[in-house]
Amino acid sequence: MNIFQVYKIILGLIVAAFVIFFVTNFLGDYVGLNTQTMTYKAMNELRDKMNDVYITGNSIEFSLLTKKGTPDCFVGSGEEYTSTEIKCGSLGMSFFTPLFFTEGGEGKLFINRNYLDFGWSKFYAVSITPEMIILFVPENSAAKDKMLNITDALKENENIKFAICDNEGITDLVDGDSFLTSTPTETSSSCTASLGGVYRIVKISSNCNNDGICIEINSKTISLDGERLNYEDVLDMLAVIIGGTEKDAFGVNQGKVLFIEKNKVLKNQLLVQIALENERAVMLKNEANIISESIDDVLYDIDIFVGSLNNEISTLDPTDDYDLIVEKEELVENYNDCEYAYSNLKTYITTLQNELQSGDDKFAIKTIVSDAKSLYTSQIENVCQDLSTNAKSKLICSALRFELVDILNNVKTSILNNDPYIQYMKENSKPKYEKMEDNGCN
Amino acid sequence: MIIIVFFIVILLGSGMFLLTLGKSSTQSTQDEYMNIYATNLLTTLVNTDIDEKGSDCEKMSDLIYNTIIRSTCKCSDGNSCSEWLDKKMGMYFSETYNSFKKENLDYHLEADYGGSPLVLHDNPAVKEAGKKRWTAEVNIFKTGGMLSVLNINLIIAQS
Amino acid sequence: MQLRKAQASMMEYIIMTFFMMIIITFMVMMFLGIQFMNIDSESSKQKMDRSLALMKSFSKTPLFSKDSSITEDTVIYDKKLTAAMLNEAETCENLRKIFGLHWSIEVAVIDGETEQLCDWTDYDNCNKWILCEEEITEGVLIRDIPVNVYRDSTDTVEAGLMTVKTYV
Repeated sequence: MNIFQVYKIILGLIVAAFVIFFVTNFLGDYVGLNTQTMTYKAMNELRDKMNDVYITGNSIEFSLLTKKGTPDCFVGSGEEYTSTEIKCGSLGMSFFTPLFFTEGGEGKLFINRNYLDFGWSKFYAVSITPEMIILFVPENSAAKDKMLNITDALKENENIKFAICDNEGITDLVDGDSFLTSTPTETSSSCTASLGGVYRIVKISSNCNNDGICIEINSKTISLDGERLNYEDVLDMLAVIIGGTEKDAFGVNQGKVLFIEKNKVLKNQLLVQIALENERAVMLKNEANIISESIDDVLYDIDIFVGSLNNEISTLDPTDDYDLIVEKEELVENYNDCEYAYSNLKTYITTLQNELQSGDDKFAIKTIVSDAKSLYTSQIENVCQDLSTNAKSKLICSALRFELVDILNNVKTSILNNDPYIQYMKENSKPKYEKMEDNGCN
Repeated sequence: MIIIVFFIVILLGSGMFLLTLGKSSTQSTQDEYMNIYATNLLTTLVNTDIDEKGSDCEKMSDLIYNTIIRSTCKCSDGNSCSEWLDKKMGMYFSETYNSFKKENLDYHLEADYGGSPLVLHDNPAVKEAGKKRWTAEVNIFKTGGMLSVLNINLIIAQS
Repeated sequence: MQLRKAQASMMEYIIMTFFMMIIITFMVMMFLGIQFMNIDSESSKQKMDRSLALMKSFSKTPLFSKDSSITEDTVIYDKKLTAAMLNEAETCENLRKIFGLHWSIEVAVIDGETEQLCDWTDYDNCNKWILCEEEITEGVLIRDIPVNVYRDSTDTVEAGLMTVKTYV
């Protein structure tokens, strides 16, 4: 073998090694890129479908994310100025709807909508779950309420089955409606079932010190692998149960992540809405004008009535028609009293209109409206000729709106102080809003 | 020599494949947006209030429907429904006032009820060959009248 | 003669190798370039997808809706838009915690009138709202979508256009 041949062999080897290295690198990147592209497409499609469910409330199934080869997905524990994120492998995507997400198995994911109703506002959240089994371990009959509460919130999810688990096994797996109607009475102290597929063991006990998900009977606490979370509504429980104890890349339980994200989004939504209600309550130029015009109409009518009554009185004979004259004079006096009251009301509304030129003093605006309504209900309503229905409704609704805003500002203070607020909001804002609806307020 | 040429051809081919992949993904997002835009345009338009409550022309869907089934249809000011329809469509697709009209797009709107379609906003340019088009349709259901379903079609084309 | 032939063949071989190296280097550069282009187009696609998702969310969000329930028929409430503008700093701060950073929305009612921005002095006769606008002018993706807006002062549902700007 001469040197030229050696040269050819070495050169050939170098070139071949180079080409092989380059091709495998490129193929590796391309395959990676391809999986990433497919995952991205699936996540984008999921975001669209979730938004549809969020808006329409119609449940759907979704299968793109559970195909073979797609990486595992987790909900990211987002920072303050990021929306909730779902991370699949190295890809992260922002989702703008409140969500409870978990995946597992290879079947379809089921997407449906849950909500909390505060009357003046509803908080919607979307659940995305694979086929899943929830095994309750209720310690005693006192646990039954919480068990049924959770089932009721999840009953529309066609992917979830329920059963009770104890040392001997599990009861029949049934859907939510069947579980609710069967009114289960079994109790259990521990669960030794081990199943395939996705399942959650939910203990409901008076003493939660163990691993896994445990809901305390006599307090509003869920324990998740020993960490205690205070819950305020059923969606908090849903968050922990759907998220479960599986840990994300940072070692945080998904149940805790979903719980934190749900409350973060709820609080921020409420803060936006409360700020808007505060501003909206003082946007009263249209209302003030309508009420003012209606008062003018009433005062004009009263003038005419009083004028015509006085004319009638002047034509009557004091000796013959004495009683009639007294009756009409009393009527004139009533009208004059009403005219006085309406003139006072008009003064309030004029002051309101002046205050609304700048809108700087919300408290003054609120006080004027409240006083005007008090005057109307105490001295005018049911006694004097009514304002037009529209004007009356504007006055009453404006006052009710301020009362609602007072409640909401208390809620805001609790949110900012990290104090419980949901129960107070439900008990106070909901009836107030219902009263507004009864009065035909927008 | 042949091997080199073969090698070059394969590499060029895969390069072009990757290029088209990149281009088609942005194109599909653009299409998705235009489809949503077209659907929303149509649903927004038909749900808009046009005239007083209770009149034949209360909503755009009422105005279109009543113009078709009743030639004597009048709106609250006494003018005919078809006059109102022309005026309103002119406003919504106007080239001068704030309107839906985008600079580089043509819009054509018609209502189909089984007879010859009623053209609501005419722009035959949308049907020219070779143009990128997006369509949307919405059905208006009415009970108790002689026409129970009205199909409204929107075609948007690049100018 | 034979030596010349051998030398020529060697030279030929060396030149061929040299050209092959140039071609391979050129191919590598081309593929790297294509990959960078793909990454670029992927990132602009992600920006477009995010813009689309923001647009769909804002058009039906309960934060600006007329009723407390959301359905397909949900419309935007003009008083809430005006309220948001009157308290823009606080509203945008809280909205960013829900929707992330670097976006803005505009809503304009299509009524044939000239543009009139809504503020405290005129919120019944105005027809345009702008929220959370940023000073960035380059690389802004602008998309609009028709929406219905409920006007409180006339108790009517009007046609409008919602424009979403995505800055990053």
